[in-house]
Amino acid sequence: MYRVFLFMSLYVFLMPFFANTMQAGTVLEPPQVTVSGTVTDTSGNPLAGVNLVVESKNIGTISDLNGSFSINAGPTDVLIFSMVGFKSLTVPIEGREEVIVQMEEDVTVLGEVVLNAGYYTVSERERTGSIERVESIDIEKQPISNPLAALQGRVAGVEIEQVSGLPGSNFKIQIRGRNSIRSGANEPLYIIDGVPYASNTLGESQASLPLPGGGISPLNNINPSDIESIEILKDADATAIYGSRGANGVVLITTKKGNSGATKIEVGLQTGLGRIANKVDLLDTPGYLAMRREAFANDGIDPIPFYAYDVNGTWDMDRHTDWQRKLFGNTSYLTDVQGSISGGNETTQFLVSGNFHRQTSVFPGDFNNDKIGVLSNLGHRSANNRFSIQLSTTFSANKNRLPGDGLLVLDALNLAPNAPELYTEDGVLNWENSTWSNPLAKLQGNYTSDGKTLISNARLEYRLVDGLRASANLGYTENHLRELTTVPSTIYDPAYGIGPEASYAVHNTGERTSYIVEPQLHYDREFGVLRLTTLAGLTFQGQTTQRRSQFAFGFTNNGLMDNLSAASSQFPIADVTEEYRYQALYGRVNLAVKNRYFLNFTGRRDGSSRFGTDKRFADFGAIGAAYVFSKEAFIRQGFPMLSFGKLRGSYGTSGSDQIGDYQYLDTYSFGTQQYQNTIGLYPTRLFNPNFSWEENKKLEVALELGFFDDRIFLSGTYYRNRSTNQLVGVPLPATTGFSSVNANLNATVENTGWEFELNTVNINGKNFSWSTGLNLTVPRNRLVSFPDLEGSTYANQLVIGQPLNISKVYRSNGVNPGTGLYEFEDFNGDGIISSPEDRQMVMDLNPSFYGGLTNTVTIGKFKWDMLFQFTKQQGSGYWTPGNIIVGGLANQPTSVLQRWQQEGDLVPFQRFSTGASQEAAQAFRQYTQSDASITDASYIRLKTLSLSYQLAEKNHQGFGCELYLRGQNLLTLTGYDGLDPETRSNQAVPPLRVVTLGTRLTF
Amino acid sequence: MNTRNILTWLPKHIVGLMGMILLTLSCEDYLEVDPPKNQLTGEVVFENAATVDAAFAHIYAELRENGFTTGGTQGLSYLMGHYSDELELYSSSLPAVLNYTNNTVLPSDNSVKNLWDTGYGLVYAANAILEGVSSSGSLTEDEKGRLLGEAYFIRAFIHFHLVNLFGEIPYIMTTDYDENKDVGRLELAMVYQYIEGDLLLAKELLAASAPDFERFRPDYWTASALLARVYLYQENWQLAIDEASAILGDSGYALNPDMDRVFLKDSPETLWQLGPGLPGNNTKEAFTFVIVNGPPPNSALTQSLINSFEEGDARFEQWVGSVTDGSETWYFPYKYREYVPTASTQECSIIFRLAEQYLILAEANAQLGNLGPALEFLNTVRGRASLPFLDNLDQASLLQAVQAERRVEFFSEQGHRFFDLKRTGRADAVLAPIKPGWESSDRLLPIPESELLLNPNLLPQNEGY
Repeated sequence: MYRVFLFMSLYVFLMPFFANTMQAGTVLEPPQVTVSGTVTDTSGNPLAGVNLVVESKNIGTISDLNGSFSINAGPTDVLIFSMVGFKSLTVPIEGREEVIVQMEEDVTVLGEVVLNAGYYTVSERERTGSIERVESIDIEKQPISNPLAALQGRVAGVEIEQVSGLPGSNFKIQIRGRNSIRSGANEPLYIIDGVPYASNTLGESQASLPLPGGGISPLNNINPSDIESIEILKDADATAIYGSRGANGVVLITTKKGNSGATKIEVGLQTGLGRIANKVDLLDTPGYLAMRREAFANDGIDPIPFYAYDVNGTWDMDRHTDWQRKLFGNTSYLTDVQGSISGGNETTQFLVSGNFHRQTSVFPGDFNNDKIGVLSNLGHRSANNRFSIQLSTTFSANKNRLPGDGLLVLDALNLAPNAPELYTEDGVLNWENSTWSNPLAKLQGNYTSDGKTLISNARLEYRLVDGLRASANLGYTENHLRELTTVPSTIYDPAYGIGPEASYAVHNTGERTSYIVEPQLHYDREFGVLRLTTLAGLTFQGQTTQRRSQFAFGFTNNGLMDNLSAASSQFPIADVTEEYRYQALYGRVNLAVKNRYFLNFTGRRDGSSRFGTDKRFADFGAIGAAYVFSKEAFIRQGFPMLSFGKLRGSYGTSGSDQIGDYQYLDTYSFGTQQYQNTIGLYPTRLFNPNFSWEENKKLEVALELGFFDDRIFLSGTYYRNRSTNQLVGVPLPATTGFSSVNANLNATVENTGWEFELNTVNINGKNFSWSTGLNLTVPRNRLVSFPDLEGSTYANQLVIGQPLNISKVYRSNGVNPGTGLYEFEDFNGDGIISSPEDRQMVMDLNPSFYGGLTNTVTIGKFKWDMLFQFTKQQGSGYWTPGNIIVGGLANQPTSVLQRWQQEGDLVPFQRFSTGASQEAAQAFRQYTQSDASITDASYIRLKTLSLSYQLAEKNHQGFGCELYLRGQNLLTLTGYDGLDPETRSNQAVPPLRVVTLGTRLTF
Repeated sequence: MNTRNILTWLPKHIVGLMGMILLTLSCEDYLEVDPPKNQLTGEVVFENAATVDAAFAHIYAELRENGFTTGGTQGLSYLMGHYSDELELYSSSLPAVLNYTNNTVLPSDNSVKNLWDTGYGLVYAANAILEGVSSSGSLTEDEKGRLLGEAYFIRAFIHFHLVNLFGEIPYIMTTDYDENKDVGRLELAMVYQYIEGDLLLAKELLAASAPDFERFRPDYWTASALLARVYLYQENWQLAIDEASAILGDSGYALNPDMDRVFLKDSPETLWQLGPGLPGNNTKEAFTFVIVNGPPPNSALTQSLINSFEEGDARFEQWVGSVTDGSETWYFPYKYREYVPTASTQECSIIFRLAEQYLILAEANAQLGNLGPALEFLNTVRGRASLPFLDNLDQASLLQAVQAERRVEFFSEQGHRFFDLKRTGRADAVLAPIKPGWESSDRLLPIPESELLLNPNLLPQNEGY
């Protein structure tokens, strides 16, 4: 069937060219001569590595170290000189044999930037799709260890949130909003040097508990300083060629390559400190004890009962401990060492780099994250320019050691300020006669993860005949993860009398290997004013995931817990092998007329093993168009200040298969528990073999304008993405035996939005320059339709016309001045506040806008970079997670002092209660589920500040030396009531404020 | 450029290009992947009895580890001990249990959701076995009988607990999620009718199969024992007597005269117990209840329970442990003693034991006015605990004595105390004076909030929540 489709589509794409060119003939070429010359910059320094081509011919060369070149060309030919960072130059030979050229540095914002669109490249000026690029220069400015952190605040339409301040933890990324109702299916596709990279963790859920947000992020294994650029593909035109995996956008990561020229050695050293940037202002001991006494009095409990150790005198009532400082207030130390050697000649270039990164945690104790990485890149082009190969290999090892329990932050917030000493005088953990559970006991257990990642890629290309190239993209990745969680008996109160025989450990090893083979044909040709660029290719991708976890217990000594053989008993809790196969056929046809009108067709037919036999294949495609109207004569004359103007748009489809492997099978899985020496077999899921691809239709229109030689560059984009055939785990009540079933819902989710970018070169002097960049996204997410929503299990989660990310809550009517209790709107008027009937208040938890502002100022040898990131949003507040009642045995923010005390009080907080009063407990619980607990979580954050000083320049002193001072998360302006408006969690360590000092030497 | 060349050039290459693509793409079976190695497809599971037994192993392991029968802090022995008047909470780090102690359990509490969800999860597993075994072509009729009987028993057993905790509930008899996702609640009588039906079926199917000598699997007598309890709860006195008498007469089980051996693995009194996960493991109850040093890290028995033991009760000597810090003494359930693994398993969590049948006989006979036999059954249990025989009691005092006996016999076992208070209508009278948070509506737990949000047919919420 799809052969027909293929044939038809190619036929349709190509037929027009046949029709218009029904004449045959040949043109005689004039005689060829050797033209030589030199290229220099405006100050006369020779420029090496300048790309030089004869226009309209496939002849080209590169200038050597002295800036010299020689090339065969006809006397009437035109030479085109180009190099990144310089303005391209077109020089007609006009019969000369020597051509001396000076190239001007490109100060315009746009330049001739070439974007990586994955299967092809396209120049920034000519692109029809929505592609954003973040370059190494911006990535390097930030003291970060995860490449995603570099994108925060820099790219319009991309929302990134750090899940936790712990080194190695995950980032949440959403490109143009949430498309799928399924919460775990909104991840973009990551491609590193042409190789898809699975971003889901290999961790065992029972072993990776301390890291919120799905364990160790595999992306953390990519060294940010090895990255040349990150491209983000957003619209249909750019993503349809990724078909079933492009619905949520594509993140392309390109590693650094060597350049021809003298061998260059770069060494970078960086060291710094990090601390949590914010603490919650909690009650001190007198305030806390007063709250507790008042709570008991309010509940009519007298005398204070025996179990209220904090306030009945069992614990010292004069103690005060700042638990936030004690439990996660340590300084995190960061060290980063980089080194690279690169160089090459016209035909062969290489780059080898290595790095070491270490960061310690903010917890008391010896916890840290160590990373080592190596990158090698080799490029070669045959002397006749027909054959080229590009090899790249990255290897990284990542070791993370964390406390075995993730609740230390919550403990720090909840512990009574007069809770006992952590240690007794003898230096052992203090259990204060079993009256508390010592939070440091949790540190007795450890979590260690040891990850290794290999990504290798080869790209071969051969020019068959003029204009026709065959290429192959080959990739192989390996990902290994070893995890060990230890829970020694010493985490328990000794009163239990438990020895090492009750200690246990979870060992997990996971590995994922994947390969990709992509043969491709490219055909580029010019027909007069028409330039045709085409591509057709195939993808074969296979991925195997294996994971084995062991539960080991019954140790004779807690020191032996990392050794499986020291356990008297062990049993497997997971032994998983999963295979994923993926196959595709794709193509692109791009037409450019007069470098002014552009049309881009892309299409893909995909097959995925994640679906049942009848549902495996699907087709995706898009059309994009652009019109560079600034090239029109009437525009040039009428609006001379307009240096660039382009209108572009695209429409098309892409899909998503993020459902996991084998979900269409009806299976039983082996459990973790035994009975009568048999491992239990449990039904894996409710099964439905008929689910299929989710489809995403994307529409985009954009206008790009450059003024005054592009010194002011403005772009505005409107997008509308509609996701249908929603592939979801439909939530089910427990009476079905499961919490969900996989199925396609005939619901439509729409993401619309405006993206604005403004880049200006404010001042551009020899010793002083200043440029500014601003990006702003105004997104809107909406559930357009959902047949029978009221009768579905989503009835209380979703509302038609509202975003997906909402919360249906009670509407708070404040504190009743008479009873001192919270009151809520009784929507159904039955006199009882109950769920779900009265949870009718809809709270939108999406950002209403977000963006970033960058400023770069260069004064002589100083360079100053600043990035502000901002978001306007509402989010879960301090009480939303359902904390312990205000007045119970848990400390509270000082704001609770504005509580009801006597009749007539008009205050925001209800009377204190220990929870013994049913009405107070109920009202508090409803408060946590009301609009009152959802707070403004907007913030403006000075994300990055970098100050560098060029001590020596390679061109002058023979070596280069740059000193810099960098800061991350230095300042946050927010009215948020909890720890951090970005993580919005009482359990996660907030993002750290990091300051580093470093140097970069170039030889 | 020479646009005219295209006519000669393109067709030649395009044909080659397409040929290459079509050639490569002809392998659609590239997408055929091996089935997962850690999962079995449904059909394979029901091909032989050993894999169906593994499916049962999951159910029993869940009952031992997570369900309401678990001896851990999520189980009824622990939670309902606090909810009624058996256990006192000492830990300050178990806020969920504090809600049980205070009788302020909320619909959003995870513990409630856990009881409900694991319950219905196991009902699904039992229904899946019923459907799989019935349609299996390769299991023998004998195997089918035993497996189906056990599955019917499990279905009844779980619904019995759910109905006592939550009141009117749906009775789930299929794996079809389309049907189960919007079920409504059934009247109590209907639920009991289904329970009784399933148990009668289970008895019939299990009658032919040999009992499990370790008593790790429910058998004919277990089904009978639950049926006796069901009749007692429904005040169907004569049927309760019939079931319990049959067990006493024909099952071959006997009360264990050695009070310190009643809860050992080989006790002749046990009808059904949950086997260990690994050889050498003992019960979760011991881990939860036994206190090594005072003050208690978790919970201890209430003074009122301690006071309810008569002088000289062997059960106080043998089944209650104590610990002191020199000035104060705390008591804890010591029925199960091995809180860490031993060389071979010593104790298993007992779900049904014969003493209950004696007290069922005593109560049901007393209700019917057969005071003589009633007294005799009661005194058998008392006698074993070295207590003097009772005599000359009128019906009301006898019934009271049976309840008093049940309290000290079954304390900290499977929530017996709370269910007894509830079914005999004494919950308010007993609990209100000693528990400030007690309200009459607390006789039922709330339906989990998450469940009501997903299935409005389960509305309204239980009274008082």
